[in-house]
Amino acid sequence: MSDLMAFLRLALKSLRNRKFTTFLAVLSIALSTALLLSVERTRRATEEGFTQSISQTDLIVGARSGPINLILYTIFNMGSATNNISWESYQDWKKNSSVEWTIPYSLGDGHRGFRVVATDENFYEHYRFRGDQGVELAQGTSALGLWDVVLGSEVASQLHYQLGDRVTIAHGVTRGEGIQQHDDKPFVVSGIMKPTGTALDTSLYISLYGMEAIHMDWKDGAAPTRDKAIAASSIRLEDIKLGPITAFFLRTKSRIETLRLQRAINTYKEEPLLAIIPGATLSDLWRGLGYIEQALKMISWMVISVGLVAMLIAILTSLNERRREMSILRSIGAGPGEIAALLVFESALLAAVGVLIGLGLELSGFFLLKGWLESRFGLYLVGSPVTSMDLIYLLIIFGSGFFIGLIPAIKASRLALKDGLTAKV
Amino acid sequence: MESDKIIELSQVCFQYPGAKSPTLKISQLDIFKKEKVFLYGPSGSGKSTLLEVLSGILQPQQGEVKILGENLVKMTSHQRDRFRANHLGYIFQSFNLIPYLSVEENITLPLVLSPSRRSKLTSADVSAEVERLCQHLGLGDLKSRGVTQLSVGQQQRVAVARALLGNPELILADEPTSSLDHDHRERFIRLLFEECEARGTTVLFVSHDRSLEKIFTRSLSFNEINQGGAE
Ligand SMILES: Nc1ncnc2c1ncn2[C@@H]1O[C@H](COP(=O)(O)OP(=O)(O)O)[C@@H](O)[C@H]1O
Ligand SMILES: [Mg+2]
Repeated sequence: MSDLMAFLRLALKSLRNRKFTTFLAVLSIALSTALLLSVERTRRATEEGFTQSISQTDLIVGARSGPINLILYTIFNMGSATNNISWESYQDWKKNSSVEWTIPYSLGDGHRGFRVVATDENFYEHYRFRGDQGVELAQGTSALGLWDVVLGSEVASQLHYQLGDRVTIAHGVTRGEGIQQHDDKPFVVSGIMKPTGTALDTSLYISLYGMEAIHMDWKDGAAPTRDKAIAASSIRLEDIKLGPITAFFLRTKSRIETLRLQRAINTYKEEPLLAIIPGATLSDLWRGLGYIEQALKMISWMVISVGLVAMLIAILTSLNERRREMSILRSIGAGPGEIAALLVFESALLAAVGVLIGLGLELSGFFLLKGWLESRFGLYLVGSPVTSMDLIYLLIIFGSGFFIGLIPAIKASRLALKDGLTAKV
Repeated sequence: MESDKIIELSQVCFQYPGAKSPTLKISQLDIFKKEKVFLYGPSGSGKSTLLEVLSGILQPQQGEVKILGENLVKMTSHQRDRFRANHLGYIFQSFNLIPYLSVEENITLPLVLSPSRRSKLTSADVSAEVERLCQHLGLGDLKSRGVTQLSVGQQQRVAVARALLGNPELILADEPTSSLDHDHRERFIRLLFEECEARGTTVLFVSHDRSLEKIFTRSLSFNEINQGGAE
């Protein structure tokens, strides 16, 4: 046992003697480990962010179309609905005894390229993403009044809006400026949301009544002529009768009801509707984007290979400088096996230290940059900072480092005495 | 039966892999206990190769290599390594020392690798022995010095101390004086002999330079005992 210790001490002293090569080998392992882990974390956060764009909603319901289309226009602000849901059908399902709450969504208008969502107080109360994250206001109050509008954080920061600013809504969601403006009925910014890192940040939120109010005097999708226009001041919330909505989110009282309710909605007689389970559809969609994940993984492995090769080069280079050392050890009784063990121990140690430093680097980098990554890229991490997958990667790197150490070890164990001693180093 | 021979070679033939002819072809070589043998021969004739065969690092293709009555050829490579650690001391021409270890650590290095060599000494013995060797070899106050700060002469004396620690029966010296100037050579060898005589250690010393021949108890010409050659 003490022999082993003495032996290991010898290896450590030898490493210390070659500080620079040792440093390079450890650095190459550490950097590639850190890179692999951060690519892995990015991948995880991307997937997490994607599939957790909405949570606690059991069903999303819209007019019958494709599930992907439905999820795209409700969650990701992409595409549009082909049809509406009548107010009566909505009420029908809202009052269903298995339903705990619903959030109505009425889409179709925009503001300078951002979407306007008309919804009600349930949105502020019940909408959840990334587990239990809800909609929170950084300033002001929810848009419950007729002319109130709440801004997503991205909208507020890009357009430099503040509480009390007037916002005109364009008819029909468009990129850039709308052609037809509801400029006779401006909204007033009542609140600004905290950043969520989801597509929620890039929308404006008004009440269903507001949405109804700006379209009251419209006929068949066309703006009213001047004489037919109804003045904003003459409209009162109490007088408004709500019309069709685009979609709604639904929470069941008990999760077991979900499938039954989904089937019931999908076979609803009054109107063709489509109900989807958001988690399942999001996972499908993510799997469809699987090549992104593959590409990220490929990059990681290439990075690791480079790191390992760099370590191999560092050890092999130092081996040349160490022929004498090996010869001396041989002359005093070290066998080829012991020489090999010395080198394997060395590369294993380098790999282990490299892997640990890499992990430390990545974790500290991550915690330092966490806030910035969240606000700048919407990359949120849910779950533990180190996953079992990470540990497997670390073991693989360490194992490869160990096996790569066998190459110089075998080479060194074959050196004869003279090789190191006649050399004019 | 206790033999008085420490080295017995018979019909040894050694050829490097890939070489056209054997480097060593020695029909008989006997060296007796407590002898101090000087073996001379030109550079490249195979002297170092012979020492590597004697220490069990190289395996001859034919013949017997008996050291202390034991045939190295019959041993496993692990046994040969153990045998070398336990019974032999090796001194090279130069570069004898591990640069990142201190004088004392270099001297005690064989004990790290050879439990049985150490078991001859208790740890108190080790420090007493190291102390005594260093005093005698003029390394008294250099023990904790890094070896790179020593002169070449001092380095060679450290190598002697290392070869002697733990009382190996046989010292193999491969031109250990060729990096020293003439005055130091003789002083160095006399120091080595004093230590070996005190312990009854046998010395086999190879060199291409015959100027030191007369101090030894016996002198051999490598070309006379060896019929092989690299030509
Ligand atoms: N590893 C080796 N492989 C092949 N040939 C070698 C090897 N080492 C030495 N030789 C050859 O063996 C011969 C003897 O070398 P060596 O024993 O070093 O001679 P000396 O020590 O007498 O100068 C030389 O011709 C040398 O080229
Ligand atoms: Mg030689």
